[in-house]
Amino acid sequence: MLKHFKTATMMLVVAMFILPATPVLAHLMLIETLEEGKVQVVYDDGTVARRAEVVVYNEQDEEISRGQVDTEGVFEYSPVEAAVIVADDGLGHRAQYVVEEDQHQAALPRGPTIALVLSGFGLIALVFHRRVREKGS
Amino acid sequence: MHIADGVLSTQVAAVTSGVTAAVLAYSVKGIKEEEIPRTSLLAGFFFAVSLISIPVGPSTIHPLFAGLLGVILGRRAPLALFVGLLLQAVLFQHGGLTTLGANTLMLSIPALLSHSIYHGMAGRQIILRGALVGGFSVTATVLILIVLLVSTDPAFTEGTFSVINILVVGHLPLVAIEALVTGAALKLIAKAKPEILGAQEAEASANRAR
Repeated sequence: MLKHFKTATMMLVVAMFILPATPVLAHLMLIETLEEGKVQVVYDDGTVARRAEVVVYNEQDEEISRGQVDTEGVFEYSPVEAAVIVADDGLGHRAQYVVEEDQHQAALPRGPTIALVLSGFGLIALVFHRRVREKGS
Repeated sequence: MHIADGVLSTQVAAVTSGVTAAVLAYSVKGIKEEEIPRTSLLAGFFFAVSLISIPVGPSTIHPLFAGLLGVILGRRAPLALFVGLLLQAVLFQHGGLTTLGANTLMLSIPALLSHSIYHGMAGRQIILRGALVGGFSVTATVLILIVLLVSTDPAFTEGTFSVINILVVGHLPLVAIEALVTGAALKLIAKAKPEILGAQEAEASANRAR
């Protein structure tokens, strides 16, 4: 039974290296700056958001601009007073961008993170499986 | 579909968080070491599988498998789902933290119900029971999602291409997919490692006899 467990964990490890190759992984929506006063709303797999509504707020949290992105996901706004830009695609994805601050902290590398998490789960399973066996014998 | 931060109203987020806390307490209470391996592995499976997103029209759907988790883990399903969702929210910003309660509830309720439904039909064909539960769990999740969205803002229902309509139509394929896969998976498990289901089946019949 322990042999099967090792096989299962091995398969899990292999699967997680295959997973990143899957063409579509979960969507995260981002706002990217093209130039001052011009942003593009995209998903983390590179596709553009074609139906997102963008709202620009000033430092006092007042709305100074609102509109839809164009077919390329681009939204132009007046940079005067713009402090925070929020995009919402109406389908549960929401992104926020604080002007000035570089909001592009590198997102965690997908493949390795998934691999790590799955290994973690596998390890926990293995550890407790062994403990239970020892208790039994 | 994992709801992101800011989509739900504060009240809905607060209420769902509270209910989820209670459900989690129930899920964790009395957990035995024997249950941890399968809970951990299924949490990993759920984590991995929900990262896949299938574009359907203007939206995307994600495999959920709350039914499968519910049947195998029973009471511990909410725990596995919560941990998977938490990691997704923290590591990949897939789903928000304020909406973690809502997302967990959306899956936990169908999972727990699936467990009851499946084991309540002991004796019938496994593939059938599995398929029923697989399809049911997706439907239930979408229904709960609709309730949460409408409670936040009735505007979600406006228009032929309203968010609700898109969500429903988008998830129809998933109902079929999960029904098939859940049925097949449970049949496979019943053949290869019936103890996983067997112990619970025996327990369920014992409980019913009492």
